[in-house]
Amino acid sequence: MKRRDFIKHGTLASSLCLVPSFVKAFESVTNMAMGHKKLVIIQLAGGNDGLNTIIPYTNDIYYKNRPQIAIPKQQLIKVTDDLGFHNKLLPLKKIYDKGFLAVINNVGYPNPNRSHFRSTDIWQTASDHNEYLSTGWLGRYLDLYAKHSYGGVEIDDSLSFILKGEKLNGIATKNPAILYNNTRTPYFEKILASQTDTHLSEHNLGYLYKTMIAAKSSAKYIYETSKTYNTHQEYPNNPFGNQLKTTAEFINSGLESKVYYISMGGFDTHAGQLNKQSRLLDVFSSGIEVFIKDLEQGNTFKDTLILTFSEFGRRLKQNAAIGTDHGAANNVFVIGKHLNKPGFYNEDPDLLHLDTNGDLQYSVDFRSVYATILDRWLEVNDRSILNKSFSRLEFI
Amino acid sequence: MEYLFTRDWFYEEKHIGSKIKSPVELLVGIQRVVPVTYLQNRQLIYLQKLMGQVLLYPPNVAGWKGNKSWIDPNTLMLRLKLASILLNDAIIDMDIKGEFEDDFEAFYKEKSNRKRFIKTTKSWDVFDSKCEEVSFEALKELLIIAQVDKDTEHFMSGLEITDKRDYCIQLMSIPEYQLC
Repeated sequence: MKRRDFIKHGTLASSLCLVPSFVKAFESVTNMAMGHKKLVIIQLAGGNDGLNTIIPYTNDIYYKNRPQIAIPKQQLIKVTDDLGFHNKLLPLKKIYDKGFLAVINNVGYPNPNRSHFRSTDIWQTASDHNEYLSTGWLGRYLDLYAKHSYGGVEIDDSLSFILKGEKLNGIATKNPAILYNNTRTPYFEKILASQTDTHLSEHNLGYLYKTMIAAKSSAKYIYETSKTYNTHQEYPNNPFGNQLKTTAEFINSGLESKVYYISMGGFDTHAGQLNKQSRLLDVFSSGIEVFIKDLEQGNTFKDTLILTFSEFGRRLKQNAAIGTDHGAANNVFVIGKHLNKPGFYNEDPDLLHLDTNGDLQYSVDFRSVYATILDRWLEVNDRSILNKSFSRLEFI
Repeated sequence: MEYLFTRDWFYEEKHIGSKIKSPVELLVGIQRVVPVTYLQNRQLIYLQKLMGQVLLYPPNVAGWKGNKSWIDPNTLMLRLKLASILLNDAIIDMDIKGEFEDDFEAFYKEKSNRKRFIKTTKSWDVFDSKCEEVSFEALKELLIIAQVDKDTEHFMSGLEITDKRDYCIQLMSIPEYQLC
């Protein structure tokens, strides 16, 4: 700790900390109704190559820049006159045909960062490229509109930035039974059991006790609620399939959690991209297909919106290792039952006007996508969460 | 500096034991009381990753935010269990996140060996020789500098204390140990 922090902390903490709690209490009154809509966010971590996912198959520039890794016209699933799906996305094509999928092209932000870490932080905190925020955008949503940690759940063992708020954090679990067990270690349980008065103090010790209580009650709630539903669907046997299965069990069991975050890894295809990405897209789309079936069966698909993103897309030009390097703008998928504008939401990627690195330029700020979801789906004040106003889109 | 350290308010009770330890402070704190050697160095990194602070790898140029930001339900559960994990061979049921550069298998690889132990050699003899002359009460004063919550205090006082090593782990497992 820096000396300055020490002084600041010691002298001001007690008085300052009281303010946000008051503000929070006030704001949560203004929006008591949380509604029953769910949001599932899936990050294709590593940077999915959007150009080989949704292929501009009539564009010569695409084929010229990717002599070895371009997907030939005969091997893809044509959906429009100039765009086609990767052939492993057949399940996604079916979803598209039903009108449940919207593809938004060219999503990004100004001055794109090509580091996985930094760009992921930017996407997860909804910051500007040169701004460092200490809370995630879903964390800020929890701060303002949730009462419990289980308002936001990450399907993993540790919590990502995206679900960290100033006052309230989400909770991470990919196995509710284990999470619940971890709060039942003898010591943890006994100390909590011995608590008589509620710790409303805003000091750090009070915060620790409150977090313990929150952890315990959230873990218990998630475990006991989710075990009431057992899926009848057969999910692909891989970790991503398991993450989706757990999510579906959470949603279908009527868990009050509003936002879910899943990270699927492996998309950093610098070398030998073709086979690697093929497998990944297969894992992704076959998992999503069962997930939707499962939600349909539980009658919850109509209330669930799925958003997939990558921290960046990949460079148009292939590299020497028969792969692609980190790029910029990319497509995002929005999946839901009642989309306002299913199909391809906007213009094709513009391969003619690349940025100075040879990457796609963005035309839709990713925070416009967030703002739209917050405003129209979760029905909350997007401005207070994103700290700025972004133009809304029409996909929902 | 002299000014700072010679002021009475610097030593006021409310300023002592009010900061939440960083993961590294927590690890080092335990280390200083009972020296442990990690049989696999990567397990030390693994613990740091799970708690959100890998030494020399700050998230950005601003560094770690510190204090409350170390704490979420998941990290707190681990931090409270840390002394048992390191000193008492408690199992640890958490997987770290994969790296961005990993392929699909590697990204999820750590997730296959649940119920793992952190393999350490514990130098309890160092602790024993240091604490030979120290009373239980003094040991508590030494390890816990924050004001102990009164219910927890009550709970602790009801425990039968027989063994200094056990007592040490117990003290390190109460929320107050998270503060410095």
